Amino acid sequence: MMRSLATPSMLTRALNLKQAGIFRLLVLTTCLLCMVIGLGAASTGMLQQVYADWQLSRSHNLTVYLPPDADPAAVNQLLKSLPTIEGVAFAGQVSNTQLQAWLKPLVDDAGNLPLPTVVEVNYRGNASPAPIIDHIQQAFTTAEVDDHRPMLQQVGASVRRLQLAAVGLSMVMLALMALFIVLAVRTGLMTELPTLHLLVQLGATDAALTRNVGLQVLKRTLVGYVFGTAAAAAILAVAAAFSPGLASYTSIPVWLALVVIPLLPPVIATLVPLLLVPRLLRRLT
Amino acid sequence: MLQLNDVGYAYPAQTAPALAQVNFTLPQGSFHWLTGPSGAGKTTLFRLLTLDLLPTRGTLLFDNRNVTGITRQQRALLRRKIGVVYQDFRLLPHLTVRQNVLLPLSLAGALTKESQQSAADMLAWVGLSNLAETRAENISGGEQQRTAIARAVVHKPQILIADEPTGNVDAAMARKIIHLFTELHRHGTTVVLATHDTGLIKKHPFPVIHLNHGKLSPMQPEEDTE
Repeated sequence: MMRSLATPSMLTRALNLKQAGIFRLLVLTTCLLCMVIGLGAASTGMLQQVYADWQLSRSHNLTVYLPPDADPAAVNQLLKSLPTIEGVAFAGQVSNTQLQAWLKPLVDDAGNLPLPTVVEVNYRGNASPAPIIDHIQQAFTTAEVDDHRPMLQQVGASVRRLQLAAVGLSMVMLALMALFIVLAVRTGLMTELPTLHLLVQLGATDAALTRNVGLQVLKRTLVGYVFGTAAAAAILAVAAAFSPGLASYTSIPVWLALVVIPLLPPVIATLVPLLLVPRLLRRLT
Repeated sequence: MLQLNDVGYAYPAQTAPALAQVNFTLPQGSFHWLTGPSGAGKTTLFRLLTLDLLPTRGTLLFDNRNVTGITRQQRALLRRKIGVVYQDFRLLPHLTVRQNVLLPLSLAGALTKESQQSAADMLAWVGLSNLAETRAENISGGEQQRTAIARAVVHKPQILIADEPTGNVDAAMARKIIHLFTELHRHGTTVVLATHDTGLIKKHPFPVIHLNHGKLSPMQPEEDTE
């Protein structure tokens, strides 16, 4: 009894692009690229979450600096009155011990410095900070109130720059991937030129050959994607297991980014042969 | 079936045309020898008949359709009506004999039970059923030639064009191969067989397309083209 032989595998057996070494390297190249892109996407996602959490905590927070000689009774009075203002969720004085701990890395003799009185005020998301600031400045005219806006803007811009750099780097890598696929397909077809001529003479259409070459490229890049993404997932899982801080940011969107964004190389691998192979066939056959 | 009207072909790098003013008609079911001395233009005419090249002047009609201006897609579909046997066989060495024979059918569409049966029938016809699962690189020259013939006719082409099909085989195998071609001719296939062998032409007195210096010329009675 004859073995069944599906048409695509028959054509793939005939036009075996794996004969070219560079074509065989497609799996390894895609694997490495998908791993790097996957980890890059996950890192960018986690950075976004870290930034969002920090932004959330800072954007509804006021830090009030009172002079070191501020009257403790007046400070207590302020601390008691602040929660009565609409929107204030919390008001508390930062302890001297905490202040010294903050200053220690910056100043050699932090213990002997006259320390300001620092009050942290948290307010709810929909509340306006203006009445709170007015209230503080009525109680202490010399009070300095920091709403963290300059820092928020500075850090926000830095995060955006980092994310843009990550996207730019990914674009460069994808362009290199496209170039690699062009080289691999071109070399593969040149290596199999006699077979290509024969298939054309036997009636193979450009569309059928393009589809077959595209499938061969896609198959190899998908294998590379599976291994590369699995490696990236394993690295992230191990890193999260050893770092509880990181674990709290490995959310479902981060895992999704790790799995979905590396699909770009296989997508490129589908598009490049569609554009390249018909032109090559016209030139070679 | 196939008609050449004032056909000429000039290769881009050459000043003189390889073929000029070639006129002939191949009616359906005919058998023609294609012969001529080396450099006469046989290979160019062979490539024109197999649609590997298109004429640079004149018209080549396939089933009354001028092929000069057709698209690559249309040319590919027309090639499926042509069976070609190359002098150097052009089998794919890494495929089995059966897979080589199945190639034209797989290119024309999905492989069905019928197409598998056609390949099996062709292999039986050329006497290679026992070698069906042997890789083409592991069979003899004569067996490769018969595999190439089976591949050329498995899809039942309207026209079969063969280039020196007996050039690389011994006399006994050559007789067997010519027998296969005449059998195909009897079944209505148009056959064009390029050869240098005048003995073969005398033994099978079919019409001769004789080329000399790129033009059709009458064959001299005692001409030996080798």
